[in-house]
Amino acid sequence: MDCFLLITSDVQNKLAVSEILKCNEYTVRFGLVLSQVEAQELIETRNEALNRNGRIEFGGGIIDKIIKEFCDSPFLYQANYAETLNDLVETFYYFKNESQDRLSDDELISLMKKYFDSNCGGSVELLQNRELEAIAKNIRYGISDYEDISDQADYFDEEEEDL
Amino acid sequence: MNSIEKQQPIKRESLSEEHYFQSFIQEAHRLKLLSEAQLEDIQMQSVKLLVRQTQRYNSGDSSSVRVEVAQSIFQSALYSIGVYLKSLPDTDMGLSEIINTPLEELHKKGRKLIEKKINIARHLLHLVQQERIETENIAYRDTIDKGLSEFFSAYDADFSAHDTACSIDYPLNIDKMEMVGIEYILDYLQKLYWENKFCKKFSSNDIACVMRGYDEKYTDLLVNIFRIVFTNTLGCTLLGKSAEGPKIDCMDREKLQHKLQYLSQDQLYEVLEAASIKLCKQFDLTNDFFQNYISQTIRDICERLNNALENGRLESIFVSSKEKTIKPVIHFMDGDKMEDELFRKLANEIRECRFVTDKISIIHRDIHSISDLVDILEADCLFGNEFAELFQVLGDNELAMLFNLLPINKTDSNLEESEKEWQLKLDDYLEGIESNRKNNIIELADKIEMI
Repeated sequence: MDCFLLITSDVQNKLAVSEILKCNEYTVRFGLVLSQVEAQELIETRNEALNRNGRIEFGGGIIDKIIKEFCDSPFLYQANYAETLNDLVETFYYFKNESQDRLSDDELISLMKKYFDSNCGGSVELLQNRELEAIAKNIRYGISDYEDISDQADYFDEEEEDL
Repeated sequence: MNSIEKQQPIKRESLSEEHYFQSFIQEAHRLKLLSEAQLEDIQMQSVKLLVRQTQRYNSGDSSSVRVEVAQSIFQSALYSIGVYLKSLPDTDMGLSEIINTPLEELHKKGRKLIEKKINIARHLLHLVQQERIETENIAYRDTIDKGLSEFFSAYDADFSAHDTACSIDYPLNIDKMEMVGIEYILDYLQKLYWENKFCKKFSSNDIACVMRGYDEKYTDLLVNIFRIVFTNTLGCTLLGKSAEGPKIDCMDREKLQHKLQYLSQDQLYEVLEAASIKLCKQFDLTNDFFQNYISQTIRDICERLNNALENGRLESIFVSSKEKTIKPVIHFMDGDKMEDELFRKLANEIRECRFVTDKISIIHRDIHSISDLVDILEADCLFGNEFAELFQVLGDNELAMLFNLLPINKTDSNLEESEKEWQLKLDDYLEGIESNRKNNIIELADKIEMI
């Protein structure tokens, strides 16, 4: 499987960086812009996340999709933009595995956005450890209405109160 | 007239059955039939093929997959190409296809061939199920009834074509285990079909008798029926008594020993081959595939027979037929099993007893079934010598029933510790008692049948 090495070649990384930078044209209206270095970092984060989660990616990838979905979030501003994007990319690949690939890219990203803006109040940590964990658990348990995490949310609230 | 065969630089037999395409490329590169540039082009094409197949796998929903999924998709695609290349008349043609045809095209051709093979295999399975032999052998029955059918429902020709996901327990006479995917199943079914076709020349009773002669417990064994029936039939043909079925006795073995012992291995092979040709003609089984299968079988038999002749142990090759012996049976109906709650209470009560005599009297009073008795033996109620003291007060019938539960293989590591303890103790106890009584218990155990 040596040929897989070709996928993460320099040329491909450069292409990906330019694709990310192209997103700036769209996100600038929300006051969000990524620098060349930050775009490069995002690619590194993606490659590490893919490696860590034992995944392999072809084609354009999901970074531009995440950027376009999240740029209108009230919890994103220029100071936390790049860092949050890095965390979101890591979260994405982790939950791709945790949900046993049963969520499509678009579905997972839109769920992430929904809870990031609502229940989690812009906290990626809460998004990871509470909402997405509960959804992934529902999926693994074969619950068809996996988005129904009201019970788990109550449970976590109670736990927090106990503490 | 002798035909002149063209020399092929890539030898078909030096290529891997499982990773045919990969080994083909390696061999071609080693022999410098593929340049560095051509090799690089093939690698690039294979990556493109992987990307295309992965996108199809995800149906555009996901841009990434797990590495093991990608590996499987990749292997499957290369396997499909291998299937197509194997279908070509020679390796020269295969090489020219690899150089001149895009890999994606080769993959499509391979995929179509796989589809054809699936259809042929399905049809063969149907024939095998129709033409099956009536036997009590569990592996044979399970493989034909369930194992092989599972393959067709689980097989994914698009993304896991190299996978042989099914449970085939029944061993063939000659099994090409290096094959995988549909190729293996097709090969297996073809061989099984012809093995059945041969065995069907005999009655199911004849087959059962030969198998019983091989081993009384043949029903539980992973053993090929055809091999034993064919070898015995071959023995009969050598003796000129082929019309009587595959029955061989001591006298026949002596005659065979006398007839074959002074032959060299080559002469022995010739004699066996001649007999097998005669046998196939007699049974009207002159199909090329079967003939080829028989000649491979003969090679194997020849080697084993040579050893057996040297050691005068022909019974390991030609087995005696054995009719079913009807033994007297004692039907035993076990008592009702105790309720769980009641059992727990009783086990606690026994555990609390200080003296073994009290434990035994409780067991005597309250245990009314063998299964409860076994549960008590495994529930940490008795320790050390207490087991022997309990066995002492049990009658021969109870001991015989417990004896039946002892594992055949005493070093079975799958047994729980608690199971092992009472079984070891019972074994020790039976070793210690008078031999007449022990034999009586073993005889009883043989006769008892739980209903």
